[in-house]
Amino acid sequence: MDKVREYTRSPLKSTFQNWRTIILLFILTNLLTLLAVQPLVSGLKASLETTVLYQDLARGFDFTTLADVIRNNTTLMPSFFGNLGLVLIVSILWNVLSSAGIIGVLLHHNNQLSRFWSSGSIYFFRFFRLALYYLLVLSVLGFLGYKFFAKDGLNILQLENEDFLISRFYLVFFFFLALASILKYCIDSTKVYIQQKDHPLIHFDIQSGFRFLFTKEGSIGYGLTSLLLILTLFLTYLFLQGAISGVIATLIGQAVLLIRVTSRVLRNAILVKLIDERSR
Amino acid sequence: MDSKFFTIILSLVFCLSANAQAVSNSSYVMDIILDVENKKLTGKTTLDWTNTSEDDITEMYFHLYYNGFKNSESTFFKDDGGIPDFLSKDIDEVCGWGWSKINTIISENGKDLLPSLTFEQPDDSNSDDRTVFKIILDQPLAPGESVTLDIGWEAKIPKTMPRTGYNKDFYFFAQWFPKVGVYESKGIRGADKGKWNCHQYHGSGEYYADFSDYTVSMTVPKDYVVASSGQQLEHTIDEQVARWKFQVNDVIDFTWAASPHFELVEDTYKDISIKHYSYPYKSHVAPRYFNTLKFAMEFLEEHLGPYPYPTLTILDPPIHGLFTGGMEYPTLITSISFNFFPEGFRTPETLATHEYVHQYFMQMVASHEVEEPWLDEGFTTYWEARILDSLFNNNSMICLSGVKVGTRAYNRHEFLNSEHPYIASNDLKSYEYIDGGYGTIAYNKTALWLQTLEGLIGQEVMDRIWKTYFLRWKFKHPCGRDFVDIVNEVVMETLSTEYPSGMDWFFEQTLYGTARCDYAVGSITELEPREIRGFFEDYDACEVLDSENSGKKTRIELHRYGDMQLPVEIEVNYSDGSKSHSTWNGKGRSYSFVTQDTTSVLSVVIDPENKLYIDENVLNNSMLMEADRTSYKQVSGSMHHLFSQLIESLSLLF
Ligand SMILES: [Zn+2]
Repeated sequence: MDKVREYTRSPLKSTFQNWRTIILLFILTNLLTLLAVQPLVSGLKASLETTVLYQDLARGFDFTTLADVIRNNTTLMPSFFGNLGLVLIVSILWNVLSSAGIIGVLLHHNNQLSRFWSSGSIYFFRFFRLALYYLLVLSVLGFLGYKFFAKDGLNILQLENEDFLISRFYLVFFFFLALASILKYCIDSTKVYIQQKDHPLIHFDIQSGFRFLFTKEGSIGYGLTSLLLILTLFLTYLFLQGAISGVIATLIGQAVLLIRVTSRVLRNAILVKLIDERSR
Repeated sequence: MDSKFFTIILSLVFCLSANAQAVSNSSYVMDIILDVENKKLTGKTTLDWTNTSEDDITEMYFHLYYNGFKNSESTFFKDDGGIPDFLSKDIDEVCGWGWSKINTIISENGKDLLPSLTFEQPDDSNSDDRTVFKIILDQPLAPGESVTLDIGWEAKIPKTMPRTGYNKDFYFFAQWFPKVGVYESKGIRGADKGKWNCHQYHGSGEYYADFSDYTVSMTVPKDYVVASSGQQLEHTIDEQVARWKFQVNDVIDFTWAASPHFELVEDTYKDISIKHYSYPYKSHVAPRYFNTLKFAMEFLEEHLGPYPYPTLTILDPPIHGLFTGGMEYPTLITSISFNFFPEGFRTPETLATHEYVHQYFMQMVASHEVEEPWLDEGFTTYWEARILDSLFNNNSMICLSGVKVGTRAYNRHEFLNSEHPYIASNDLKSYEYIDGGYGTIAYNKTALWLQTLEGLIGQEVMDRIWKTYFLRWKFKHPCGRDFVDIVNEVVMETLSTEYPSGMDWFFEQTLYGTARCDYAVGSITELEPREIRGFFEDYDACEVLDSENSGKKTRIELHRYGDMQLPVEIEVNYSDGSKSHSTWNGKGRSYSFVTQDTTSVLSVVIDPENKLYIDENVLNNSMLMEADRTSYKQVSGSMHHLFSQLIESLSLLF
């Protein structure tokens, strides 16, 4: 327990010292969201602004109104999804850059944004490559999972019943999630090693990242960061389930987002602390 | 016992039995052997048929539905969308084709009428179609006389065909036995002379039959359980086989299913036994069916009349028996459920309700599903939405994570979102619809205009129409005009001021027409105060009078974009919270009027109670004087929250 306290106290401190980074992440996420929802927001505004239906939609999901908006505004959904795709690409690039920036400020105990930007740009391509590897491995895992899921065929006329498919789906889903989360932890550790060792090739760092999982610090870190992640996701779930609206919803929504961003930095801070500890 | 009381009881019994007698004109006693090894049925049918017409009958027409699956040249296979690809793609691998063959037809005199048998193609002259045959009777049948025919037949059971066939050890028998057509006497459904009505088997539109009494014995492998129309009379097992016997009277068809895996769960509504058959892995869905069905039974009992049969069977087929799901048969309905669907997808409830309503429309009120499909599918869709939206408070289709969709709203969307919603009127035969119009026009459009009719005349009058229609046409064969006549009769009686000449104008546009309905608020304009100028009382004094001692004036302009003309209600809301209501006859392309009030107009809403449910665009049905900024902020805020969480979640991957 003392160890846990030790491994969280200083990361917490450095997380809060990096409030500039947190604010930057928070603002950028909001900006990207604004860009993503813009076509939908303006489309709905154009169709509903001067009707009495807008207030029904504000109270909750209104199928007839939404269906009529989409039917009478045929360009709305294509332009929304097209724009969403673009924003997602920008968001992915931003995530790669910001993850390098976050580790940079934490590893160098330098909470200035200049450090964030310089680490972000220096390690961008290495982190991008790492992200591609991770996606590739996830795709292979997903493909294998699907192969297992559909190994007896999916023609419903040939199935005896669907229950075994459901169990199989849960099994595949559980394994996929577990493997993906372990892999992601190793990838996150690798990111710290990349910046700590600064090899031009990342293969050694990947090895270090994976080895780290099997150390005492590594397993404690996995437990701590996973717990933190689960807590923030649960909080998000609670928020999205709650039927609140108006100013309070805006405040709570922004607070949840801020907590998630902070938790992201904190998870990285814990990793940096543990890897630093181990390297000493 | 008091003699008067005794007489009353006697006459009552007589009336009831006379009534029962009047319903069925035929009876089938069938002995069936199911051969699961060879996928065959062997049947012996004793058919008793009474000539209830005023004509001498010399020939009889029969359906032989299973020949729709005989080969690729049948009308069923050739019909647009007759057999979905996923059902028929493996048909040749296992020879999943099916057929039905008559071996003997022996008349009462012992004469075999088989040599007189000819196949007929009344609909399309497709000589390869063998789903209708005709025999010549050995002697003419005078009005009121009966004939008894002993028919020996056999059938090859098709594999996974629409509504019927086998897959693995699941067997479902629908439209499966040689069945006599309907002899329509002069006057029935507008017939100008007596004639046989016996359509070939088509991909859509199943029924038209007289009421019959059925007693059916099935011999099946001994471990098989039979689920069937009607009441079970017998179940005996010997060394090899099991014998089941069922009986049901006054119905237009008989259907059954068999499998070694069926599990029965039972419930009751009043003295009606509700039986749920499914595979054990799905039995947990039974309470959902029972709750819905009991609600539907009570609802229709109140609004139309009681369900008169002692049993109602619902069969939820296993996943490989999906091809039989979602169908209506007298006293037996089939549904579809998947264990991987969350409860918020109310497919089982929707299907069970829809198929149960068919017990009234097409079963008890035996309209012609092939010639006038709107009379049963459309009516059923209307009642299905009404029942389910009452039961589930307008989220009867989907209720999942805040997404709520009602059946009525979904039906409207399905019609308006179809490829060609206005390509045909409702006045088509089932096989005359093309491009999927059968589903959207016969079902959804009918429901839409019925809901609109209800909006115009009110629910009370509508309910009176339904009750009159049901009571007058129960156990008979009505046609569309009979329904229209009842609407006119009730409306002219109850709403003589509003609609003195009935509702034919409405049916011309909706049932028999293809017009679209779209009313819109065009503009709201606050009028500048006008100065009143010139010579008035005093011929010598040129005056400029102060204009506004009479309040604020606003001009409201409405438009009709569609060709459908319906009376439209208009609501004007004022800034002091007051409202005013008026009506426009909806006939012109535009209509404008000026309101005058002490306060200014906030909004104008046409059809505020959503009576014109057939209006295709709700977005232009209202107009605010000022943009609704509050709702804009709320809706945009909600979307922002959702998407910001999604975008932040990308960090879990990168
Ligand atoms: Zn139906």
